[in-house]
Amino acid sequence: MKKGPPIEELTRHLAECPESFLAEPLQPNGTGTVHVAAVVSDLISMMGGEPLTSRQVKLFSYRSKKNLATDRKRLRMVLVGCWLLYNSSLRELTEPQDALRFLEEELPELASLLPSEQVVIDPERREEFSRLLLRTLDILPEGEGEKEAENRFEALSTIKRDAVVRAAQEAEKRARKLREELARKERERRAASVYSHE
Amino acid sequence: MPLPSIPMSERLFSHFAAEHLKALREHPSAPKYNFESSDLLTEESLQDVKNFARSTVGEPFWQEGSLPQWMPGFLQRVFRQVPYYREFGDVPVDFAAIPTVDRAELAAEIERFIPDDVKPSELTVYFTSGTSGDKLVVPTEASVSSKVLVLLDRLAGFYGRSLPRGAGKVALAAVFCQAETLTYPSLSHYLEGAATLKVNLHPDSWNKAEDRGRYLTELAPEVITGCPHSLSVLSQVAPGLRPSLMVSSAVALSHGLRQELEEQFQCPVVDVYSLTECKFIAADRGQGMALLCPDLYVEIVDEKGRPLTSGERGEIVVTGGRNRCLPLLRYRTGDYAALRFVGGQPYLSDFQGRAPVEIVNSQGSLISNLDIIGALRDFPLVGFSFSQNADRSFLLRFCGDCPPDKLVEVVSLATGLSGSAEKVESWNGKPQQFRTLNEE
Repeated sequence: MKKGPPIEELTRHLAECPESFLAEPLQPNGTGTVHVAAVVSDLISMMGGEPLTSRQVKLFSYRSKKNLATDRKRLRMVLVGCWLLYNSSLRELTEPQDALRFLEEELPELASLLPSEQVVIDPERREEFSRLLLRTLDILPEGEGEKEAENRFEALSTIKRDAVVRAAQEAEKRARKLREELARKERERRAASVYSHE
Repeated sequence: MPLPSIPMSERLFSHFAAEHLKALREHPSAPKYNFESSDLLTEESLQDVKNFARSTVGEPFWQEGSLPQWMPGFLQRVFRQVPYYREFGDVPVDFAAIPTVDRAELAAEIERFIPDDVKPSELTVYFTSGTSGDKLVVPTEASVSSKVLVLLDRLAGFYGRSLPRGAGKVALAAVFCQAETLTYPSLSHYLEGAATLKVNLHPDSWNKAEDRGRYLTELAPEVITGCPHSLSVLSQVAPGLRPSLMVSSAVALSHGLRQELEEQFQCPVVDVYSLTECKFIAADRGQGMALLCPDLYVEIVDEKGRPLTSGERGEIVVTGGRNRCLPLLRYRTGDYAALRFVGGQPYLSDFQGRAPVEIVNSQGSLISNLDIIGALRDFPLVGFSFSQNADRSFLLRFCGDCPPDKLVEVVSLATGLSGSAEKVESWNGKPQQFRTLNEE
């Protein structure tokens, strides 16, 4: 494993994420401001890689209207991922194909679990995000052994996973309760007096 | 099976008001009321309605090209509290990047649009079904209905009138005319104990058909609300009514019918654009559909949800938290218009309650639906549907007291097409409908 910068350098870098990397990805209808594929392509070129192929451009764009929410979270996470990869200490240690693998394969799952701004504003999520990247690139944080780095990453991601599972269970319980309540009120015709036609 | 009755509001009315309510039910000409209802207001929600009347209605509208001042706080609440929007992550800086949502999407998973801070026990429920056929159960907080009274009061104020207040008065009659609907007299806390009626003019809803005119004329409600069809029936069964104001909603009111009703009842008749999801949006006060209250942000968008500029025609999209149980965020109404500002007041112009359908003349060139609407605008029509056949001839189905051959004549003149007209006795749905054979 390669030796990398201390974890604090990366979390600090994330905390300083500029507005432009938190801006709105360009949507299929033309709204939004950032062309995510162009940002990724610039980063890969800067690392000495080839510009993105048209298949790769599609990977870093909205896929369908049906998945708007999923795509938005994924693309926003990719932007923050690009910002982390711009860190000068990391850039020197990273191969372009490894950077692409991180953005393409590792981020969709994380994006489905939490919004991208969390990995900028929440200290624990900053650390988890930094460690996820180092792990994908096969780099050890400065001052840590392999076992210690692995344990620390696992601990952070387990806490998050548990919280996500709990939140999903709570949400499902509430949705069921609301559906039952709406059906009951529908049967009872529970509504305030009507004063007009709609 | 008898319908279940719901309890009166948590707040009690005076003895006199309660006696008045009883008298309205037991009146010798009263309809066969089939329900008990109330405004369901508590001390807190009554205060909410009063605050709406005092501080929201009458506030200036947002400036052309900018968002209302309440928008950032509203977006923060929605993206934090509403599961559907929480899925999108944080609030986009660009408002237009928030995806629009339509009735079908809302109907598919309505519980995900209810904010986390709404207790299930607080919910009340209304229903709606549009021309698209997507039935929607609308979770609603009780105060939304009383906010309609506030907006009606404001409308009446434009004509120097107001809704009466106090026990013993009949402030309003909501007049329906359909085979079946809930009917009841009710008392309003916002109107300090004044009564409101919800009646069905369908003869089956009364002991004797002539009771309809007798009951309503004797009680003399100050304001009458209805739809073009029910108001048209009202003009036949209760010609002696002299309300201060009539309001027509649900579907657009034709110019001809409006004029006829105004002459008949000798009062202003106002066409209101309203949705079950958020109630009154705009009212036609003579210069076009004027937006009524700045708590609903209205924009016009293209097919892809991109905002259009002032004067461009597209779909009407609303945003606002008037109904705390169902905050609407870029909600596509399925209705079409252009938005124009005149002296700080936004108006919806070229309003049409459904997507334009392509009607062609005998040479195959497009004809604007507005030409057909224009040709028919001075007839007292409750509603009409214009269908174009494959051979380009038309069939005009209509409801209203008009000679069919005259209607065929003006439509043929406006379109250059030949066709026929067929009269129907009642009208449900949008008052101006257009179809081509491909759609049938």
